[in-house]
Amino acid sequence: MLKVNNLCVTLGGKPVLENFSLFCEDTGCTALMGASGIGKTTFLRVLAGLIKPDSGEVESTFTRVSVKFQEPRLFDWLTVKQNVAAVLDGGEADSVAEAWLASVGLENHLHKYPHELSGGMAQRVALARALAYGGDLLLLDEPFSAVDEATKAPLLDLIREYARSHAVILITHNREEAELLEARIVQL
Amino acid sequence: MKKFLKSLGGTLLVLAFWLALWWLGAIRMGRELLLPSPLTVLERLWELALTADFWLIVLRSILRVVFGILLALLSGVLLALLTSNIPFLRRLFYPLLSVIKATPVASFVILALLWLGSSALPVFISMLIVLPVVWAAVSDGIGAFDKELTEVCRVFTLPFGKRLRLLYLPTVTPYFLSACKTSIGMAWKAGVAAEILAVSPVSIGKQLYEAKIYLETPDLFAWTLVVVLLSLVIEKLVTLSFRALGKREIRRATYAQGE
Repeated sequence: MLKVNNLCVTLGGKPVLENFSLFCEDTGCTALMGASGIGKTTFLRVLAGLIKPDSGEVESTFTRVSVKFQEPRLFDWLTVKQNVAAVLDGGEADSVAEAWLASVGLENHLHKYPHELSGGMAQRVALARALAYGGDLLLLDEPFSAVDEATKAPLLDLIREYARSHAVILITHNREEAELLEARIVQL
Repeated sequence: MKKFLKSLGGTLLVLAFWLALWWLGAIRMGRELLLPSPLTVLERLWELALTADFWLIVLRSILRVVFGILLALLSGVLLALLTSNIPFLRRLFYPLLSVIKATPVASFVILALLWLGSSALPVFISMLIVLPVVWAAVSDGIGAFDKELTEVCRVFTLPFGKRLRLLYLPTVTPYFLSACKTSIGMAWKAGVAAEILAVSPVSIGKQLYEAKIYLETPDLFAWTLVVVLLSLVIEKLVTLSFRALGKREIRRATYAQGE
């Protein structure tokens, strides 16, 4: 469960988020929508623990948070599989990484390096990494940017399925995407 | 193989050109005391190489310089870690770094000779030459950590060992390797210069010093040739050992930064 009350964030002396409140259950998808620069990414960064809010309360029972940033943020010197396995522990890391990469349709690109991928493929690797990490709260910042329509459908299914047993908060500019994810839409 | 032979042929041609020029200069001068011919120098080098003393001298000089380099690598990395993470230490040590960089080697040799023995002096001087280069390079490497990837490590709570292997080492290693490559030749030359000025016992520097005193020009050239050859061999060994050690991540990082 996530309960955010009157959250305020100022960046560089400029207020980015003002008195923002949100409640999320343990499962289900929440889509944050709103104009660019309104503070959606900042809010996700607060939830990811990368920014401290100036005021307000964040009450959370989630112990493990997965993040898919707006940019793929892959290690250039690691292969696709290594990039996903990097966030996993134990001897199963490679096979778990392979399974998640297969679920985003990249089973034939495991040994490629990021510079050999298209923008959409790199985004899918980043999504696979976030899903593989298995956070009970999954934060997705525009997960389908640069992903073509044909590839997007199975990814939407995948996230919808994930949201049945985990909480997902995503940022999107596309209402149709939010509806396909059966997400609760929150306008910022 | 064809490419290698072509490259080797080119190198040999360049070498032959400079040897011919040296030879012509020696013939033109006509005085072995001022400029011995390449053949005289090689003959002298061969004579020296047949004695056990030659190898002992070479080994002792190598050990001094290598020890100095190793000390510098260790202290340079340590200092870089400290000064990159603690602003107060950065402010404190920065002037020292600038002074070391700007001071002539001879000044340090004369000063340090008062504090250290003539045998330890080349170690200290080699260390002093390499230290600021490694320090600056590793600090640059630490400053080049990708902020976005650092955030990735943070949100996925990667333990320090994994961060070191996946992010820190691949980022810093190319800087460190480049510093090693540029400073080893400098350390070798400075170490031998210190040996000359300190007349260190059982050293190449002492042989060069005596060759100057007794006007043994072929000896001077022969020992200089030894210094040059050893510098090339050490540099090549460093490159090869890094290549052998280099995991794919490190090589990939080197590649990515070289692009």
